[in-house]
Amino acid sequence: MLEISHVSMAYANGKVKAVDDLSLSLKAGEIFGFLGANGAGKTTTIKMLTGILPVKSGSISICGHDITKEPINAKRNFGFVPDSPIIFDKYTGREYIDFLGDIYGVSAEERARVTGDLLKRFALEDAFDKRISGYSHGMKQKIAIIGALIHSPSLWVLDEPMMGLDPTSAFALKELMKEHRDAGKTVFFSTHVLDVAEKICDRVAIINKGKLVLCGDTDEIRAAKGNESLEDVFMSVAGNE
Amino acid sequence: MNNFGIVLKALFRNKLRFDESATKNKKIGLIVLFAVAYALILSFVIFMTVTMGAVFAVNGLANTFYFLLLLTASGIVLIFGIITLISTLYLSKDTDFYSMLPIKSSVVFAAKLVYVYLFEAALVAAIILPSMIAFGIVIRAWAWYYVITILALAIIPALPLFVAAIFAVPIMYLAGKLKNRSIVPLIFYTVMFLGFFGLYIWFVMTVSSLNGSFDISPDDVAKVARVMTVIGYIMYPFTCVSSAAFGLDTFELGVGASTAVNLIIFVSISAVLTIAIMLLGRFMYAQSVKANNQTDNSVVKRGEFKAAGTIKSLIVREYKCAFRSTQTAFQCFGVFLMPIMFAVVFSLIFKNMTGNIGDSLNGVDPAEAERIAATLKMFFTLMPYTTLVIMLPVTANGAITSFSREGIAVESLKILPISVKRLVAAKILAWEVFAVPCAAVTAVIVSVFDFAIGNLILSIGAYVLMSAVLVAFGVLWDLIRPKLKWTDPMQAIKHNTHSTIGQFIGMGATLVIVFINVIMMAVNVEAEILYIVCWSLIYAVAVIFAIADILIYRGIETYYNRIEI
Repeated sequence: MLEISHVSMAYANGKVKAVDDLSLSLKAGEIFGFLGANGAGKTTTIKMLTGILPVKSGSISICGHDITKEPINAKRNFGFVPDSPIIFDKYTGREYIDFLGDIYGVSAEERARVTGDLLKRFALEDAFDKRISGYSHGMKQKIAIIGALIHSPSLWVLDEPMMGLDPTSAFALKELMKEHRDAGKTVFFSTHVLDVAEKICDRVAIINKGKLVLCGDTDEIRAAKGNESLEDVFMSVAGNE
Repeated sequence: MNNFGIVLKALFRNKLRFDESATKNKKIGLIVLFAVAYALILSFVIFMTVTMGAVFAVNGLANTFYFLLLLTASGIVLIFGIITLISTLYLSKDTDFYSMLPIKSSVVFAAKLVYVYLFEAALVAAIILPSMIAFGIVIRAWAWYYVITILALAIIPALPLFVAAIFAVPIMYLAGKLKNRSIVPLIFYTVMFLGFFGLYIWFVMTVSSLNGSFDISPDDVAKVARVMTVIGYIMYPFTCVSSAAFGLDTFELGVGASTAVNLIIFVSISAVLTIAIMLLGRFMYAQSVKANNQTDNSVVKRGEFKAAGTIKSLIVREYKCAFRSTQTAFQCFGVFLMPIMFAVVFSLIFKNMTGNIGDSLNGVDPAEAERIAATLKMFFTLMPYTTLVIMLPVTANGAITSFSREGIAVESLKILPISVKRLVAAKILAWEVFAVPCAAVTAVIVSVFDFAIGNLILSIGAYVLMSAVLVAFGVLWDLIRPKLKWTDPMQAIKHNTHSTIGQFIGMGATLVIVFINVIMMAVNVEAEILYIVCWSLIYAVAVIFAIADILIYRGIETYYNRIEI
């Protein structure tokens, strides 16, 4: 589903390595948590796999399509929710979904079907025909989530998705992630909220200073560390030195 | 440093800092390009000022022309400054930040007002001051002319800004209570803009009876004087400073006393306006900022999903994003009115210059006079076409900022499954839909004033081609180095060095056509040769831009991929 192979990214003329020889392989039908402290390289990795940043070293493929060589095909297969929802705020929620529907070739009927359920879950029906510029941070996050799912992508990528969401919406999002997994698709998300990762992730990876320090089945990792919580495991491998 | 100074310093630092990634060579290159383009534009402005000014001066209307220059300075401030003013005061993203600081809102208001004023004063000084000095030299003005001119140009930019602010502050206060509040500033800009240009065109139409023969009838002078009296009262501070600059004994107190009184009136009116705007700001600014920042909680009508093709969807997005942002709407769409309005103004000016050319050639050998008259007639016939070509790069304002205006939202575009070629094509198409017909209409207007089928066909062809390649150039040029980090969308247009240089390249290249024509006219080239060279040059410049478009287009994948926030 998602293959990240020996990917590196350096800033400041190679002096600062944001991502260092990272390799990951995600299967269909799993929720994968991508954990790390601030500045560990999570967002840089996600920006590379979504085509925002170029992959200068290594390769990333989505559903068999290399993001550098076949960017259009690769992009058709994922939906992305960024950490700060940077969406076209001059649009209304409906216009934004219409725009994405046009880009991904989703019919008007399918748009209505997908959004109908999601708008109810996120209680966004009343605001849907208002300009996004007037939305709160959480509402922008919700419309970004709906937009990312409008074309039913095989891979759903989320960068810190719980930020700004109210408890009801956070619960709804977690349920959606599980449903996505149960439909045989993949969820890849980064988070600081280790409790959430522990509860819903099938596998997790922890990166520290751009390097992968731990990757595996959530339960197996905890068992191997003497049934410690994921937070304790995180602190032991990536906590402050 | 007091709070006023701290806020003012922060505003300037936020806008003026150089891009850290720019190398020394790139900075030097940009400065050289900027300087060359500026020199070209300035030469053109000085040429026009001296030529037109001489006609006024010969007929004893030097102070009228001076008044016209001040009006032009105000026009520049009005076109470029008002939007910045409203944008800086109300629509900038830093308004929330300053609201929460322990600083009086009136201090923030004053700092923002001064910040906009200083920018506009610099712009006016850069364009108008050299022209006024050149005019002073031509008419051999007295020494006080130069002193008063500097004083006038320091204060003049504040007047339209403060007058506009006096209207804008209560309007924005009331707009905060409306549902569709975002449309209010746009209506305000449009009314101010049309009002000013209406006045300007009325003035030009009235003085269009002046002609190149330097021989104006007393009736014409009286007509101009009547119009000047009305405009003079509307713009009374300008009248005072014009009278002072020329040492007119307007109050019959003697030249010295009248000049002093005129200056005192000018400074006093400016001071009263300043006090008025500060008082308004003190009582209404904080409330109107808060009202305009409030979320609209009104119930809206439920819409329906509408499917469209990718290109159409991208084009519609381009329009919606530009139009729904108050700061950018006027700059992107309002500019399409400019060549059309200037087509009327230039046509009137140059048409009348062809009127009595023969009268100014008395005493010249008849055969030679006929040849010179033919050259001059051809020159003045072609001048509106050539000068209006300079306006075409201005209509590419939306195109040349199309990537910059995306800001950090460009990341949302980059994750979409659209090739950069489609994206660029959609952006070019979006702006050509407006710019190309506007260029064609401009050509038709000029042709109507002095109809010749050859000029009509050639001008429509040239303007359409020129407009099309300039819009494409705009989008491609912006893609090379878009300004994506801004706190106010106006920064993507007005404080965007790369885009400004692109505009200057377009205007500079088109100015070359005017210069070559002027030189050919000055050396009395045959009318036929002037005609052929003029049109060939316009088409040649269009072809050069088309080649530039193709060359830049080859690298668009690289330019797009290297965009990072």
